[in-house]
Formats: sequence, C-alpha cells, structure tokens
Amino acid sequence: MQPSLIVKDLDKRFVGVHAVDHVSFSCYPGTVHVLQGENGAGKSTILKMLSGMYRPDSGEIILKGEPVKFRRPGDARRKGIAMVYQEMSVLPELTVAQNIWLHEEKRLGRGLIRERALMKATTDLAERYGIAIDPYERTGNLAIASQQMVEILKALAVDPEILILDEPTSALTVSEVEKLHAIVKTIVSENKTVLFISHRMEEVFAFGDTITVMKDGRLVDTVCLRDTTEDQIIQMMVGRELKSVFPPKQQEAKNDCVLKVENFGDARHFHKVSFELQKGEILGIGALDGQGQLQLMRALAGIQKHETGAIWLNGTKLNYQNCRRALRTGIGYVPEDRKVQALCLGMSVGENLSMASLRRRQTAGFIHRKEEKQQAQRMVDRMNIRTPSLLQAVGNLSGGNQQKVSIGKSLEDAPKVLLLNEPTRGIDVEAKQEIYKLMRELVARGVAVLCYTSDMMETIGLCDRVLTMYEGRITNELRGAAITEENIMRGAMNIASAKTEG
Amino acid sequence: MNNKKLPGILSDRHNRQLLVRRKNDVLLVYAFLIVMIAAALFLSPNFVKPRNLRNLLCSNVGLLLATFSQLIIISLGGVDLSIGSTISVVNVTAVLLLKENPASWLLAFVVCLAIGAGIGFFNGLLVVRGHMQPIIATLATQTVFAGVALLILSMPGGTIPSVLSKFVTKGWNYTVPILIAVLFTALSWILMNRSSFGRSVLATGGNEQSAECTGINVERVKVLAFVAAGVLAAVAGLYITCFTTSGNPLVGEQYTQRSITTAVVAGASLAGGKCSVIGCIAAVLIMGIINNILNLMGISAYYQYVAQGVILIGALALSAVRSEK
Amino acid sequence: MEKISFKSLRMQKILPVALVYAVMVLLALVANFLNPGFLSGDNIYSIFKQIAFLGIACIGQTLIILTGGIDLSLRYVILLSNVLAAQMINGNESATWPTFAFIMGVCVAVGLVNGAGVYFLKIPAMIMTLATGTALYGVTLLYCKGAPGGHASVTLSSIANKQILGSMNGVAVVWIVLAALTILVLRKTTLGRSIYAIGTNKTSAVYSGIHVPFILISVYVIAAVMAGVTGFFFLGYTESGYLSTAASYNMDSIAAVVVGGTSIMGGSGGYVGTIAGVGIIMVLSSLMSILNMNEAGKQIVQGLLIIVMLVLVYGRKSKR
Repeated sequence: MQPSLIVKDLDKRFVGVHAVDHVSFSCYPGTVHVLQGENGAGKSTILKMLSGMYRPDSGEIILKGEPVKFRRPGDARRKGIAMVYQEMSVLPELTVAQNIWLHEEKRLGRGLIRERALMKATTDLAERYGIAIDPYERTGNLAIASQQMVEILKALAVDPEILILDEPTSALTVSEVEKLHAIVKTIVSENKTVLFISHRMEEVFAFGDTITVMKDGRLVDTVCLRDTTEDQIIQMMVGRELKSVFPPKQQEAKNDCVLKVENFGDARHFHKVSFELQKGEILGIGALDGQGQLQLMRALAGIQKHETGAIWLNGTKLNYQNCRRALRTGIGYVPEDRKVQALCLGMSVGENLSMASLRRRQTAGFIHRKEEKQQAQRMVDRMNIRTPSLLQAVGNLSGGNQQKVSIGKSLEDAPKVLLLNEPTRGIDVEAKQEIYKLMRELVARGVAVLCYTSDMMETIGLCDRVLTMYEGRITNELRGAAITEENIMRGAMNIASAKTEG
Repeated sequence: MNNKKLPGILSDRHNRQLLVRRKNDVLLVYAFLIVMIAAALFLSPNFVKPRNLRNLLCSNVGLLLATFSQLIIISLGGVDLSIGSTISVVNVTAVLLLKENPASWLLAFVVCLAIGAGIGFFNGLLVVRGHMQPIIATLATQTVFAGVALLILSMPGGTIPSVLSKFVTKGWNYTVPILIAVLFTALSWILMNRSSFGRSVLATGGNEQSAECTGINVERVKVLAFVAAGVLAAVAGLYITCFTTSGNPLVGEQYTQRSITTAVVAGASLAGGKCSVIGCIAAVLIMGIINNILNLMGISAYYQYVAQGVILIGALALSAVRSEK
Repeated sequence: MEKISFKSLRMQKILPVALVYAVMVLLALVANFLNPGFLSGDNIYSIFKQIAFLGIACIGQTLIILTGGIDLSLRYVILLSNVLAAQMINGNESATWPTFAFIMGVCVAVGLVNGAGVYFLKIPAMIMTLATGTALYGVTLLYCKGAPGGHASVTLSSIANKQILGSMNGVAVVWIVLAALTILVLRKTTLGRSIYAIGTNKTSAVYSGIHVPFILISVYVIAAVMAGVTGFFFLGYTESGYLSTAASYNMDSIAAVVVGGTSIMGGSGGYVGTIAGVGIIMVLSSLMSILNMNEAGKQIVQGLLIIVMLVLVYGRKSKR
C-alpha cells in the first residue's frame, strides 16, 4: 500500500536548539498514527511543519506521492493536511456552521453565501462522522468539548487526506473520549490518515495503530502498537544523556518546612495539590506539557486565582489573590516567558533589576539612585551578567543574561520562597550552569526553591525532590536515587510503576 | 457535548430560538429604541407629527451610512478616526464638481467614491505595510485629510444644485432617502453577513492568527476592508452634502465620534469579530431621537454632546462588564 | 564582549534628544533667514508667550503617551477651564485664585474618570478620552450657553503679559517650574520609573509588583490638571473665553510629543524631547506663515510629519 504521507529527512533548527533532526517516517491511509515523545522531543515542531506554520530547513514532505511545499498555513489545508490545534481557534461570534465552512464557502456554491446550504452541509458532515452538533448555535455559547467538535469538523470540511489531532482529549470527559474514538474510527474507515498526539497512554493504545517515538529531535523508532507494550514505549522515550553538569545536591533532607500548601486547586487546571517545601531543598515538578503545572505556579505566585486550598509561609497562613500581595509576603516568581512577562526590554539592566524592589530603595517616592546602582552592580557581579554597563538595554543582552536579570530582579526583593517557571528556557549551556549554581547557593542560604522545567534531564540533575503531576494532580513524590527519567515519565503519564519507591 | 441528534434539517422553530439567543445584543438595542420612542411620545406630542418623523429619518441617513463604514473597521478590530475627514473631503469636492448640468453629477459621484477608496487604501497601506494599529494610522491620516479639505475649500461656502439635493433628501415624498437607507443597509448586510469577504473581516477581527491558519489572506482583507469603509464613508459624505446643500471643510468632524458611538451601541465590540448591521439602524435612531427630543422640548441642543460622550462610555462599560462574565 | 564605556551608552540616550533640539535650532535659523527679525528679542518673546501654553499641555500628553495611551480630551479640558475661568472671575481680582482651585478640582475629577475608564473598563485610551472630551465640550457649551463671556482679572493678564526676567512672562516661569518637576519625576521617582515600566511592558510591570491602577489613574489626573492650568492661564493671554481656544492642541500636542522622540507605543522618550518637539511645532507653524501657507497647509504638513515619525517607529519595531 502506498503511504499517504511520507516525512523524509525533515530538519529544523532554532536559535540554540536542533528541534527536529532529520526525522523520517511514513503514514498509511486508513490508520491512526501516533506521535510520541517527551517535552521538547520535536513533536509539535513536526506538526507545525506539516500544517504549514513553519518551513523545514531541509527535507521533504510527500503527500500522496507528490512532494509538497507550504508557504503559508492555509496552503496545507488546501493540499489536504488539516490540523486541529490544541488551543481553541474557533471564532466565538460566528455560528457553528459559519465556523466550519470558514473560507470554504465556495465549495457550497458560487456567489453569496447561503446559510441554509451551510447548515445542510454541516448537518451532512456531522452525520457522516457521527458528531452531534447544532449548526445554528453561536460557537462561543458551546461547552469546550463541543467547540472542539466544531474544530474537528472544520478540519474535516476540506475533506483532508491527513487529519492531525494535537492533544484532542485534554478537555474531554471519559464518555466524550469514547465518542471521539468512534469519530476517529469513522474517519479512518474512509481511508484517511489520522496523526494523533496524546500524553494519555491508554488512548495511544486504544486509538492508535502505529507509533513514532521521538527523542531530542531525533527519530527513535516507528512501531506497530499491537506489537508493543507501555514499558517498551517508555524505554524508547527515555535514555537521554545528561548534557549539563549539575552542582552537588543536598546531602540530607532537612525538616524545616518553609512553605506548606494544602488542597490547592482552581476550578479547571489543578486540583487538591498538597506539598511541603523544605528549607535547603530544590523541589521540582515533573510533568508533560499542559498538565496544570503552569497554572499551579501562577496561582502560587498570585497571578492567577485559586479556588480552594491554603498556603502557609513559615507557619503563618497567607491570604492573597494577586501578585503584589504575594511579592510583599515574600514569594518571588520568575515567569517562563522573560521577554513578555518579566522584563521591560527597552529599559536598562539597572532599571529592570530594581523593578520589583523599588519600594525598598526610596524615600517619599524619590529613588535612592546611588544605592540602587550599587545593589544592581552587586547583583550583576554575583550572577555574572555579561553586560557592558548597567545602562545597557536589556533587550540587547543574550538570552542567558536576560534570564539572569529576570532572576536577579526577583532576588533583589529578598524573597523567602522563589518559584521558577522554566528557568533555563532558551539559553546557552554555560548560562544554564551558572543558574544551577545560583539556585544551589540560594537554597544554601535558606531560600526555598520550587522549580518547574519541561526539560526532564534538568529536573533529574537539579532537584532534590520531584513531584510528578498528571492532569492537575500530584501523582508521585520521588526522592534521591528514585529520581530517574523512567520514574518521572511514569508519574507524568500516570502509569503504575513496576517497582514502588519511597 | 451538545446532544441534539439531528435527523436531517432542524425545525424552524428551533432555529428561530437559537437566532434569538445569538442576536440578543441586537434585540437589546431595539428594546432600548422602543423605550426611547415611548419616552419621546410621552415627552412631546410633536414627536409623532409626520413632519417631525420625516425630518428625523432623513437627517440621520448620513450618520447611518457613516456607521456602516465604521462598522467594517470595528469588526476588523480597529477604529477609523479618519472617517470625518473623508466626509469633509468628499463634501468640498462634491461642492466643487456638482454643477447644474446633470452630466457633471456622474463624474462628481465617481470622483468622490474614488476619493473614499483612495483614502481607505492609504489607511490600509499604513496598517499593513506600516505595521500600525488602525486607530493610530487613522489618527494621523485624519489630520492630513482634514487639511486637504481645508485646502480645497478654506471657508464654508459653495452650493450644490437644489434639484439634486431636494431629490436625494426629500424626493418622491421623502421616499428616496428611506430607499437609500434601505439599499445601503441591505448592501452592508450582504457584505458583512453573506459574502466571504465579510466573513473574512469578522474572522480577522475575531482571531487573526486563527484566520491566517484557515487560509485567509489577512493582509489583503485588511486593505480591502479599509477601501470598502472609505467608499461607504464617501457615500455618507455625498448624502450629507445633499442634506447640508453647502460646502464646509469641517462638516465631517463630528461624524467620527458619532459613528463610533452608534457602532458600539449597535453591539459591535471594539475587540473585533462582532458586528450588527441591523443594530446600527436602532442605534442611529436612538441617538437621533435623543437630539430630536432635546429639540422639541426646547432643551439646549448642547446636551447632545454630553449625551454622546456618556452613552459611548456607557455602551463600552456594558460591553466590558458582559465580556468579563 | 568589548567594554563599551558609560559615556557611549549615555550618548545613545542623549543623541536622539539632541538631534531634535538641533532640528529645532535649524528650523529657527531657516525661519530667520527667510524672515530676518525672526530671532529678534521681541519676536522670541512673543513666541515664548505662546509656547508655554502648549508646553504645559504637553506635560500631560507626554505622560499619557509614555504609558501607551493618547489623550484626545486635552483640548476640551483646556477649553472648559478657559471658559470657566473667564466667567467665574469676570474681572474680579479676589475671584482669581478660588476659581483656580475650583478648576483644579474639576480637572482632578475628569482625570479620575479618564483613568478609571482606561484601567477598570479597559476602554482604549483614545476612545475613552474622545468620549469624555465630547461630553466636556457639551458641558462647556451648556455652561456658557454657546457664547463664552467673562473677563480676565488684572492678575491673570499681567501673568500672561508682563515681561519679567528678561524674555519671559509669568506663564513661561510656571512652565519652567512644571517642566523641571516633570523631568524630575520621570527620572528620579518611583512614579516615573513605574510610568516607563507600564508603557514598556504592562505585564512585566504587574508581575514586578507595580501598582498599575494607581500609577495609571495618577497619570490621567496629572494630565487633566496640566490641561486645566493651561486653560486657566490662557485667559490672561486671550482676555476672555473663546470657543476656539486651543482648537488644534490635540494634534499639536501629539505631534510635539512624537517628534520629540517619545514613542507612540509608550515606554521610551521623555519630556526633555517634548520641549524641543513643542519648539519645532511652533517654529514650523511660524515658518509656514512666513511661506504664506495657510491653515490647510499647516495641518497637512503636521499630519505628514506624524505619519513619517510613526512609520519610522513602527518600521523599526517590525524589523526585530
């Protein structure tokens, strides 16, 4: 049988990272092909190249035997590759039918749009795939799961050869997942190919026929799911080498609780999270993308609201729902996107460093400029921030140095707890090492550190203790020698471990 | 998941229910209009007099057309601050070109529409190639074109053939202006709701990235939207010229703020993606009735400025509160 | 990385501003060349008399543009203050300063409304101020019934007209004091720092613990107060209230701020540049009168100037 889609030697680099390294695999009509891998394995980059959002640096995409090149996202749709994105991209103000046939109205007749034709086409399309949806409803009024159905129908409206589903089940209940399964079955029965990404192992086996496992941007293997087991897949995903050198971890666990979190939850993303953050330890979260860890960090920082639960700092119960209060009580936060959330790129290094602690260095509103400069210089020296002067605009610094400024800003406010969200994202190896050393210094001095990094190797090398998280809940706690890639992956995918660990 | 199994085409009653739910913003505006009419009837017996009603309708056709123009840009997610200047330029040009000879009328109309398209194209270019937000680009072009209007006619003056102005604003026993309003309402409605261009405008305004991923050429849509808005603004300018029967380089100024107010009151969201052509009629009438009542009751006409400012803020506040839910 | 000296980075910040000042001087020289006597003491004095008003009004516009907004109510606040002052004082000496206090109160209220709409209702600054401006215009007309009357007090007239300290009048002195305060606040206080942070990146400012609502609303209050001061002292210059007071100030102030080097996107620039920008706008205006260009020409040139500045700013941004 001819493959419907061949990915041949696809390669893509970004600044500092080889996202996709000469990957090849083939998909066949009438099958569900799963793409699997840890965070940063390259799956989402491949999808973006297949859907036309990115252009490959080299390699070919061969669709139905013909090589194709996409210049803009719409091209892929026209040629027969339709993608259902993870983030909702339906237009809330339009009706279901209008959304589904957006930009494709010509298929239903030339000239002006006929709403009845749209509606009938929607009903027909929905029936064909066994989806129950009301074509006249305003899309914004629908539940998330229904909106997702609209997204799927929108992809199916172009009658694609390849349908890509990126984490389609994250927002669905169990019964809804079953319905989706039936829909996918119908789609493949039409000899289409479905490319499927999911972090839920049960679904991978329930939905999929073939699986391609990626690691560090490279292809590990493509196997038939009938002939594999969960364990074998995990073994394929793990086994990465530690690229960095990490400073030594703490020798023995202290028992001095700085931050106690109990039953912390928001309505949607994380639930019943309870843990204790001890003095002198770096606590890490091990999870795949989108498991609620982002929202948890943000809620702890006060940026997002939380619905349930309480926080104690050194025994005192805290009560905050905004980040100003959180900062005042001593909880610092280093956000994951420094350019957009932490730094003012047009302002100087000195100004950025002091931004969170201005109130400590002023009298009646007037900034103690000399003191500010001294403090900033001390921070620059301590963190080895490479900048020609304090006046340099932060936007001109390299990624690693920008990140140091971001962390330095939080440090100048002398926090008791530091929350770090992706502390080494997008920076070079040398800067990473410096940041690891800094984090060790911090905990040695009594600051409690909670850190989430999507780089699992970093979690393993850096953290004294790891909480694994799956779909908003803490699934496991790993300590010492138990912090291995396999154990973290099991916890992150909620697969029972063969061996139990304390 | 929505669990209505569809055995073929839905019943019309169901569709109607959904339609009502979808369009509840528009219904709200019309409800408000009814309240306004009731208030007007209560406050002044002269309101219902045919002469008053005729005047009310005909004097607001220009604003209605301007509102349709503004609606396109607001649906795109921006605001057009240059609409007033477009109207002014069209006004002074029309006064210049419209002579007694009917043959000159066609030329005048074509030139004015071309001017509207040209100004729109210039705006679109600034937005797409200059990477500016529409509100900033049009803030800048508004000054330039206001100056152009002054250049063409430095002092109020000039006149247009009374045959034309009478026909447009009062012709066939006041049916012509109503027909013009109906015609352009229909055209605007078809453009925004039944053409793929209008759909693309709403998509771009609603979620530009998503529109791009669907295959819509967002840049082309933006430029075309500005051109369309420019042409509609020119039509508004032509009508307003026929109504005022004279040239005034500053005539368009007030229409910028008024058209924004009516478009927002009609239910459009400044964030884009949402539009209601039908709602515009109610919004224009509401604002018109307010002025009318002030007039009839002998209250100072200056209150209309206060009313406009307060209503704009109120409508935006309402929209902000509702979107928070 | 090679060591770039402090001086060179400082130069980077000073250079654009120095450039604007250079352009201003250049234009003045051109004007003097075309119309000898332009730079004479008398003429400079008469220019100075007017420039101070735009200068004070631009303090508010600079602050608002720095936070990422634009103030379109400026002109109307000036007008309202002017008309209120004229009728409330009406030649009565003792009414001068109480009227001032009242006008200040009104302006604070306007600023609070503007700031609340921009922050809490998330209405874009331009639209919010456009709405309040229109409403204030109506209030002004209602107050004076379409025909402003009243008369300045002798105190006010002398502030605007008596020559003191060489080439300046009282208003110029007020301007210099306010200008110094503005520059001081922007450079050396937490308020100033916060304004720049909010304009550069509001999210980062929030996450850094900056009290955004307080700062934002303060900025709008200051802007309204500055407009009120302008309108009040304008009375000394015009002797009576006029509906055409400060008619072109909205666009003039935006042009002055933008030409002076403050980015329309917010976060960079400052009042020092605006001062030169104000100078350029005024000299340009005189220059165009010398060249016999009428009002229309002035508007077109100013509009094109703004477009050019915007294209430069936005063009640079998109190249990143």
